[in-house]
Amino acid sequence: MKLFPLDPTSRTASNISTISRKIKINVVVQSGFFDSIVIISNGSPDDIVFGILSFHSDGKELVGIVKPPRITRIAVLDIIKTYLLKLKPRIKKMLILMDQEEDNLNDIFDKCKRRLIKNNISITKEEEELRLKTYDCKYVDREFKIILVINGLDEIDVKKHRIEDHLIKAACLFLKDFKPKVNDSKKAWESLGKRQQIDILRMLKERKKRSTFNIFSAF
Amino acid sequence: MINRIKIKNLKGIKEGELDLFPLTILLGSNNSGKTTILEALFLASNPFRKVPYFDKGKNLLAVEVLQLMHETLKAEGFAFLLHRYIAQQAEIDCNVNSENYILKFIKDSGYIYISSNRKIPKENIDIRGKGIVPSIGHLSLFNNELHIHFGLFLVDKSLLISPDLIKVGYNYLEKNWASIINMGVCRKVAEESSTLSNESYKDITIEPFLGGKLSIYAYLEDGTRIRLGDLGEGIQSYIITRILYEVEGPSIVLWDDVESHFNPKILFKISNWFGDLLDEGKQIVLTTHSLEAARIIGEINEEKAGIYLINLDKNILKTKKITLEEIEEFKEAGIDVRVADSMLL
Repeated sequence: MKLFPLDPTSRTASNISTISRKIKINVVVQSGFFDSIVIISNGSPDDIVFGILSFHSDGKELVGIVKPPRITRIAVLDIIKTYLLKLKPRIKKMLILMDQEEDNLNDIFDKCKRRLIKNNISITKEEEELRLKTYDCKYVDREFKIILVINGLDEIDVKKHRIEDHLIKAACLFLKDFKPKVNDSKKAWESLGKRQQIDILRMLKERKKRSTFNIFSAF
Repeated sequence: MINRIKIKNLKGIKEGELDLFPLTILLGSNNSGKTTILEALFLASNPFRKVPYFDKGKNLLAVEVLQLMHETLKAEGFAFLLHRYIAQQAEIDCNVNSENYILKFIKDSGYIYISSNRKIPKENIDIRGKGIVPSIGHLSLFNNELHIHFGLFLVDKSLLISPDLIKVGYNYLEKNWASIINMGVCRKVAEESSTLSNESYKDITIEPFLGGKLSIYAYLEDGTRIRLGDLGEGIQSYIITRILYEVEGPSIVLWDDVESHFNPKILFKISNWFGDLLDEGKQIVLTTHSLEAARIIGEINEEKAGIYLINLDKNILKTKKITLEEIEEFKEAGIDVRVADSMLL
């Protein structure tokens, strides 16, 4: 999968471009047609991780990728109408990447549903699988799918579940003697040096697709 | 005021049209046709009119100014005006007060004959396949030969500003300083420019530099002076543009890449100047890659401003009028309209 950052001056675009160059995943493109977009609701390293997962996703499919700058998590549902109504290609799929944090998964799914309805988006069908929920939606005459992916791993004992849970799991697998000292996966990930972080990301790139996707269990 | 422009087969634009406002801001990516629109507007008043402020040993004509801007192509002649160098006929059609002023660039026998739908008192030319047409002049396709039949204005006079042309404008100021200094504009421009830097300029004048060559200086409050060429590019551009404007007194200001060399402080100053020009009934058309510039300038008089996102799709001009609120809305959604133009148009 190739990623088309809709704001090339954004942190998300530069994070993906930088990791793309460093570990040679070549996932960024600057033009082309797409009918799906990925909305990164929490920022980095979610964008970087999604870059690696895109590398493992076969095919030449192109998707737009955005990080709405001033809002996070469920609030991104308030702006999806902009993508639906203002972009010329009809957007058929939106994948939203969101950290679980302290919330219960069902609570998040419920809140999201309520937020969609509040935005006059009707839901015609819902499917749930682990940390992933798919909503078939309709807004005015537009039918589209929202795929909500909640980052975090129950097996990591932290107060707030985030994408870093998955990275810490990878670090424990790849680095000898790595034992996170704090019960905060973000701090544990940040406690690693930049070089170690890049090494882990490179290993995620080089592992087989299945084993990498196992670490990011929601995908 | 030019209310609307239609372009056919001119440079990179095969076809396109655009409503114009007192302040029109053209936003777009590289190679989206922005500069061609400005150039069409610049030619519209007459490709053979003299442009005194472009001085390359002689006063250039409007069409020669464009040739100068494209001289990196290292090709002589004026074939660059025609779409893909091969179009048989190009057109610039300006609507001014409900009347159309059409310029036709007709290729025939090694020349481009320029004709207009307006009454021209001079020559009529017999062009194969077109019959007798009133010609305001003709240009060689292969060399710099040109023949002027009519050099007066068809539509309002415009001033073209481009980063490529600022140095040429400087030469004009140097050569014509005796008349410029008596216009009494230099002190005003010097004082205005002081607000853009940490120095306080009191006046602008010309004096011998090292080796005796005359050079333009900004005088500082303490009596010292600084050569205009030694000032930052942004302040130089501002000073040269402001003086050229006063010298020319155009009705239309055309500015390519308005943000070039300018930090927000200078952009803010320029937008205020644009506000004054709009109050005086002048028309401004500018191009920019910068959302910041579009916002700063667009906000100066939102009622009179029209911001367009433009792009070329298979050489056809695509346009979308966009408001400052929409630009903000896209920004909030993580979309940069300059990059997403192909998805918005």
